[in-house]
Amino acid sequence: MSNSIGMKSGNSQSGKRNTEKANRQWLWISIAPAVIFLAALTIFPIFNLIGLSVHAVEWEGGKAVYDYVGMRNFKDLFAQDPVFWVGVKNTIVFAVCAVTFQMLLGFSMALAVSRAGQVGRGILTTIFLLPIVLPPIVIGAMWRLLMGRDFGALNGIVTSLGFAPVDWLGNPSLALASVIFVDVWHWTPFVFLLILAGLESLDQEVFEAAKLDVKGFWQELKFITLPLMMPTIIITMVLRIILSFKVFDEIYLLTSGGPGTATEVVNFTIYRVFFGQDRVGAGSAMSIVTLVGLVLLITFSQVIMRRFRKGASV
Amino acid sequence: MNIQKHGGKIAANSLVWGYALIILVPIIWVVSNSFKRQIDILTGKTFAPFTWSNYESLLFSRQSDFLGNLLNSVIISSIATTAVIMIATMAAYTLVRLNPPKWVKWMLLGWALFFHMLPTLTFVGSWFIMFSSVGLHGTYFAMISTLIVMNLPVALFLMVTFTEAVPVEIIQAARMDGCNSRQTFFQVVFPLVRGGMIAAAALVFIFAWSDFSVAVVLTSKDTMTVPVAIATFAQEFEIKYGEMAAGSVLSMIPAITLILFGQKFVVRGLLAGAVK
Amino acid sequence: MAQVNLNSISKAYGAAVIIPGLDLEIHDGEFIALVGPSGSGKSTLLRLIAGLEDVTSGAIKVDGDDITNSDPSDRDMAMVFQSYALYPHMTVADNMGFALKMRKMDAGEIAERVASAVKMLDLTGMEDRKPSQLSGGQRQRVAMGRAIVRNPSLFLFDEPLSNLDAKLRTKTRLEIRELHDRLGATSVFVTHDQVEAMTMADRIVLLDHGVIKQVGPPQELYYHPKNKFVASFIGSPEMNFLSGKIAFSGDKVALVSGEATWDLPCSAAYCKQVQSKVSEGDLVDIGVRPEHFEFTKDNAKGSFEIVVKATEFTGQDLFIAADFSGKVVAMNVDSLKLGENKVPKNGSTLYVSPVADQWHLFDSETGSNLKLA
Repeated sequence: MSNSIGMKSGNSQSGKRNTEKANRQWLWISIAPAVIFLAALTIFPIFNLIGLSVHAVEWEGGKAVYDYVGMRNFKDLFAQDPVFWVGVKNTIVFAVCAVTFQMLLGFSMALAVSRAGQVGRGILTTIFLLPIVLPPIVIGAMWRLLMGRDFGALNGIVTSLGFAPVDWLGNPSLALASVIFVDVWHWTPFVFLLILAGLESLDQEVFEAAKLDVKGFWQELKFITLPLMMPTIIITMVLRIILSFKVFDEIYLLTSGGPGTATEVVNFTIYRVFFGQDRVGAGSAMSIVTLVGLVLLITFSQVIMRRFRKGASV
Repeated sequence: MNIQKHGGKIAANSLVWGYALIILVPIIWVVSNSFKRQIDILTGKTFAPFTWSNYESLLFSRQSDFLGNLLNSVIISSIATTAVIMIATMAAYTLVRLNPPKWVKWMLLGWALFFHMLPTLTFVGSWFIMFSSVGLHGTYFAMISTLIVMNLPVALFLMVTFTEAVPVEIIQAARMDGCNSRQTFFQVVFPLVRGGMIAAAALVFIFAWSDFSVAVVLTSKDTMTVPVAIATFAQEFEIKYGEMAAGSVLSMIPAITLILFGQKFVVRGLLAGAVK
Repeated sequence: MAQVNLNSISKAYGAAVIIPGLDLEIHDGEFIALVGPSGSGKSTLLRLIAGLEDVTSGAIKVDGDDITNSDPSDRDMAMVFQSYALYPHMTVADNMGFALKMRKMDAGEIAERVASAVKMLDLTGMEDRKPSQLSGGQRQRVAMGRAIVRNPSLFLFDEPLSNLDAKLRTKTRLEIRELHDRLGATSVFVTHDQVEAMTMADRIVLLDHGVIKQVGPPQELYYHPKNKFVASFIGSPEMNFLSGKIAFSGDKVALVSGEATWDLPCSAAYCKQVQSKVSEGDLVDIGVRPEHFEFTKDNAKGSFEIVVKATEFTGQDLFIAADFSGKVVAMNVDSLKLGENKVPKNGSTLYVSPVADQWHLFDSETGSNLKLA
């Protein structure tokens, strides 16, 4: 019996099989591009790096010549290379300091805005978004101009106050601090947005109930706000630390890793070794070591995040 | 008590608006510099005669390739963004609604997240070797492919969120109405996540446009993008401050446009991407 | 139009078994309701029929064809969802014509069918509106229209009235049944509301935790419930249950609990039937519906002495909640019969007795109706 649509009621066996086949085809076709790109450009390169790291690579006439050297690159790295480990130290110092300031500043501002209300909130958000979406290279260029010893606006202000011009970027003891400052400028708005979203999702009734027991701003902060916000805070902090290991663009523009090795971060070392010094094998070894370190860090952080994600309000 | 409250409110607002100023002033300073002559910048004059000369020499002079760089950036970013969004949307629908084998979902999303957290620089070296060895160094293809991979995690997570917002029952209704998976995607899911795709595309375009660490390695003189061009200004012996400022301003345009028109999208995108 | 056979259907999600195993036959042209409390598996069963979920074991046949493994898009069934699931980006006309477009039907014929459905459902003038511009009731009708234009073998309804307000619900109930009759369709209707099932269905399937407790026409479930579950689910307010031991005196039947003895009035035939099914002293549960009590001559021996706790006057009915032997008993009195001024006061004592033959005997342990055993 067929109905007026012209289809046999129930179904034809072949129709059924076609749909199943079509569905299965779609399943794989729709995922294939993503998988291919990830496999070819993220998984394969890791193997590539491993392979390269056990060679010394020379360039002759535009082609690469591979010379197997076993673990020599790694041994050199761990035993002799001073620059890399300074870089690691710098990177860690950078990450910890920058994130700490971002968190403190971002949290304070979010707290301020959430309590004080909505004066020009729309405009505020617009302005706060700017550092996040500007190309990092532009941020680097911008602060390079501002912090320039001779012509920068910062020193313009400093000298007009009667002080000697400060070499923000050229003075080894100041350089890292300057770079950290720029990173804080760059990412505090991001922290601000996340924390604010978290604060606003808290149940206001809890605060009202607490007003009966808790005296004043600091007590409320210590006993109510911070404990409730802890998951969001931890997650934001961990995320920012991991992402701050990616810093490169601003350093390239601001100091190129200098002066000396004051602002040398691991990413920059790898870049220099790979492309400045053409030591592909050594660069690959550094990349591997960095990747392993970060994998451990990320895994560790995921464990922490998972524990806190359950309680997060964002 | 009221004074306290007001005092607190003033302090709070000062803090926040103070920071807003700290954000704006440098940017405005750079913009103003882009309209000053080199001499005026060097002598640190705050108010100086307005001039287009920086932009002119940047864009139109024979020595500057900046116009070409702009074109490169536009082409590369646009193609990469379009591709990434399409790939991510298709994959997101399948992952979210079509019940693929569990390991597929975990691997795709899990690995994407993981990769997103690793420093790009550690991959750039390998990419350079890979593309050079097949003679693709300096091509659009190389840049576009790497940009696609780099932005895939963000795009995936965003599109997964947007796809999950389409009610399951609508998908089921489409199945009952005779759609197989592919038809359901194009006829029902795609039109409904179009808004999300635009939001994600805006964000991804910004990231693609801003990329420096990959472009500095993978582009050649012909395919150089704007961020690399700006960096080269700073390397020169005599830094052309005016032109550097002008270049910076030009490369801020996509970001500023986006914020002015799509602020909500950006916030949503950032929050979603971060929380995942 | 279709004859549907469900053979040994079972459904489990990992270790959680929703439907242990059931058999059901749905007759061509009938309106069958799947009813049950939440978690009874009724929606799951509907989705198994639709193909939106896979069976764990068993077979589904439509007109003899085994469709157990068919994709939903190949099953020639139409479904009306609880949330209507209209396509937000399409107009009313496109929503209704979508399935036909997918099956590559000729555009002219699509327009024709959509037009006739629009007229049938009183949606004229709305064809170019999007779902967000419609009221809840209108959206519900578009959802129905989407199913109607396909003229499928089977109509599936998943609690389509739940999101409507009470008045609209009663009206739409009638309309759905009318539509079913007019189209000569076969319909499976899922609801948790027993009134909907009773008023709309030719047969009712009552489910509890994936097990069919009874299948039959509404009258059968009301007058001859197979077990306590069915007896208490059907009818509102719920049936009253009292435990005790059966006692016979002559050809009369009574319930004994502790010190008290209560008469259970029955006609000669009924009493004989009861006596053949149970023995003196058996522990049983007696079930009496609230509407099956009548007042006895004051304090007649063996009558139920109840103390009024609260009364609810609805106009037509008077519901009385009363204390009886430590339990609360519900009684439904036709207020017209009672008279305007005769509403019992709280705290007053009434004497009632079940209407003859209108009480049920249930096994204390299994809950099954002993009279039907």
